[in-house]
Amino acid sequence: MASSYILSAVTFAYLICATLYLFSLVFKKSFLALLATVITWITLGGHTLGIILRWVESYQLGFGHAPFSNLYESLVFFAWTITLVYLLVERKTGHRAMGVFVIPISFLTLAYASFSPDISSKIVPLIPALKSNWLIAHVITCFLGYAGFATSCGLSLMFLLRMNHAEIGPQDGFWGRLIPLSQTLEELIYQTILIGFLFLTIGIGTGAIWAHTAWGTYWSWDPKETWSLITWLIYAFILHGRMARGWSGKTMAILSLVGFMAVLFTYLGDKYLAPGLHSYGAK
Amino acid sequence: MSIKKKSIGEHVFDFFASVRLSLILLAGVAAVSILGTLIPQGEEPEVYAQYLGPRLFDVFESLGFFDMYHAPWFLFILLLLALNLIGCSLKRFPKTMGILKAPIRLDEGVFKKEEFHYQIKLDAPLERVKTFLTDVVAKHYPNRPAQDDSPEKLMLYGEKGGLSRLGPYIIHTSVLLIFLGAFIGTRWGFEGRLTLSEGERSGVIRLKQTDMPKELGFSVKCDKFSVSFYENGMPKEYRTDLTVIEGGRVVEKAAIRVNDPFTYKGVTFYQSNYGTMGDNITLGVRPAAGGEEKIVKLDSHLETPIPGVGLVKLANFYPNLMKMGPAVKLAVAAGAEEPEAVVLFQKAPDFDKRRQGKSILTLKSFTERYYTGLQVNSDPGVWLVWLGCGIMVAGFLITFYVSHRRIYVLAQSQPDGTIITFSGRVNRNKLAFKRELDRLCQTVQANLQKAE
Ligand code: HEM
Repeated sequence: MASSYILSAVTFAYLICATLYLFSLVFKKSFLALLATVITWITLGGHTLGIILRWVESYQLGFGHAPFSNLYESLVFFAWTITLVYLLVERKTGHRAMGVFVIPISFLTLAYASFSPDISSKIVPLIPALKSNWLIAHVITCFLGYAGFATSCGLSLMFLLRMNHAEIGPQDGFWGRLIPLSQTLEELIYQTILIGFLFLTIGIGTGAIWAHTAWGTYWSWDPKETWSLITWLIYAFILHGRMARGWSGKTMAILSLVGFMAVLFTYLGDKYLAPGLHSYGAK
Repeated sequence: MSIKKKSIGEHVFDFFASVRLSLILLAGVAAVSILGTLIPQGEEPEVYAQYLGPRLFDVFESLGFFDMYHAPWFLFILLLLALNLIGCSLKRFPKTMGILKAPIRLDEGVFKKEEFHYQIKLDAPLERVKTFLTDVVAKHYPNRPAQDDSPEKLMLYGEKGGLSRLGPYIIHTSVLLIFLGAFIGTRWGFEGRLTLSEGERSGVIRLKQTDMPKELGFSVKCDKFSVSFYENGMPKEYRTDLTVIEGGRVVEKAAIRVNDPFTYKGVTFYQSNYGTMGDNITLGVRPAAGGEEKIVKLDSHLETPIPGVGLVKLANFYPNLMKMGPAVKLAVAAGAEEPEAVVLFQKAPDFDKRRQGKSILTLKSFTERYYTGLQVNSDPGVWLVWLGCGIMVAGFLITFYVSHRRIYVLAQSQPDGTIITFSGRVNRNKLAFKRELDRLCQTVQANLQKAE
């Protein structure tokens, strides 16, 4: 399958991008950083192509469906959203060096999807319950939400690192070049949480509509569903605290890390909980 | 001003309207939900008892920990959250309206107060810049325009995006709508099941919670059930063809698939499961003491009296039981005794001898037939939930991506031209507003300089 080859190449390309970002820092060469950005955009293009091809191939196999239906496909898409959101943030702030923190995550996610023995990359037909346009909307919006929260988590880490180097200006020193000003970071953390919150809300909503057409109940407190609600509540909590009680950047950053733990648990934690409707592959 | 002492009523109201309470409640609901995913919900009592031991079991049971999301105290937390939302909105709404409706004061004092300041100097005299400035402000900040025009200075005011301040109210209303929809659904809706074999008709479903029968007021007949498979053996589609019959007349025909339910008069039918059952079952009956075998037809739904045996009812049908082929399980009631379970294998005619009854039963023949399992629900509140979701998303967009931008412009006549001061205020997205003001200054400067 051509899409598998492309996605393997893309995995490898992310490793190159991550290395370039790292070299640009170590050798203090801004052209390396620019090169890293350009190659990352190209890799994202290849990544997009791989996903679209997989879509097309499923139709050629005679049971076409959007490539968001199992753990492999969801990981591939997750890596895609992470890279996209990162590149947009990079464009907005002009801080190329942040790629050192983010692109390795895209690489690891794809590598895990491709090489973990538990995860099959085979294109298989959909069981009847998964045949729904609402499900496609659900998966896409949930992952955009996850990507928003992942970015805010990365930015929060930077914020916490930066706190010990607050006196360093944007131009000087390792930390100065690596990490934007605390003020900027604080604003970005907030903005990315808003993106995550908006999309998670739409994700939960479209998921509810899907559940309602498939089973007749829009909310059944299944563990994955409940964890998405927990995540949502944590971020609602953060937004209200910031707005009404004026929480500091540090508090926001720490809570955003907590929020992202909940995101990870929502995504992968169902292995450790009672099986529900969402367990990939089980039902 | 003297500090008034608050009455108890005001204290109570303030508590209910505080964001502090809402933080506690949001965290509370999250904590309970976490607990609910750690303790599996809705299992059989024996399972819990085995894990917990009798003492803990009693404690957990009385706290409703096995069905937390429906426990009275959880509903009470949700009720508090709703009250909190209402109280908070009632308390703040007048203030917000105050900001949106505040009279506009145009004097030079406002320029000292505002957060953003820009000043540009032009060679053009005041008279020449007036129309352009007025137009630019009216175009970009069209709401609530105000101006103060005099020969030596011009002051302008304009704003937009005031809706942004109402965003949180919109979001909070949507949360209440969802709560209301869910409440209406649980109070006046129902969830039930209906199993129909091909050709069977029924107007009575079984409620899920209580297992009580419920009349639909019309009946449905399963015309056909079909299942299709992909080449690799995975199921592709489950489909039930249904006819709705009301008042003795056929009123509608529909096909139900997974993800494609069918609604009639507010009752929705979902494809849920399926299976096969035996029909046209014939049994052989012969006395254990020896004698001739008689053939008896078994009704698949009712008790059939069989002489010498008693009342026989079909309890279950197995296409392939214990890898020994087709089998039936019967409930046999002889006289006043408890019904006895009797299993018959088609391929093992002598199996029933082991029961050592007065008669020996055998399974002679049957036809196999699909039945379809339908989930039958009515939820009169669901549209409110969807409305709430839609409004919530709209509310987020308004709150997060619209901002209330207010701008003051002062143009003062100077001996050698005009000084224009811009100043503005915004309730969120300060960086974006700063950039917007930058651009505005540049536009003004470029255009008025060019005009000379
Ligand atoms: C599940 C429930 C809730 C959701 C989803 C929600 C959502 C939101 C959102 C998204 C904002 C805007 C935040 C921002 O600007 O950063 C907001 C603002 C606000 N919320 Fe909530 N909220 C909820 C419950 C509550 C409750 C129970 C209260 C009770 C006190 C409350 C009080 C407020 C206040 C005072 C504001 C600020 C309003 C303003 O800026 O004028 N919220 N809410």
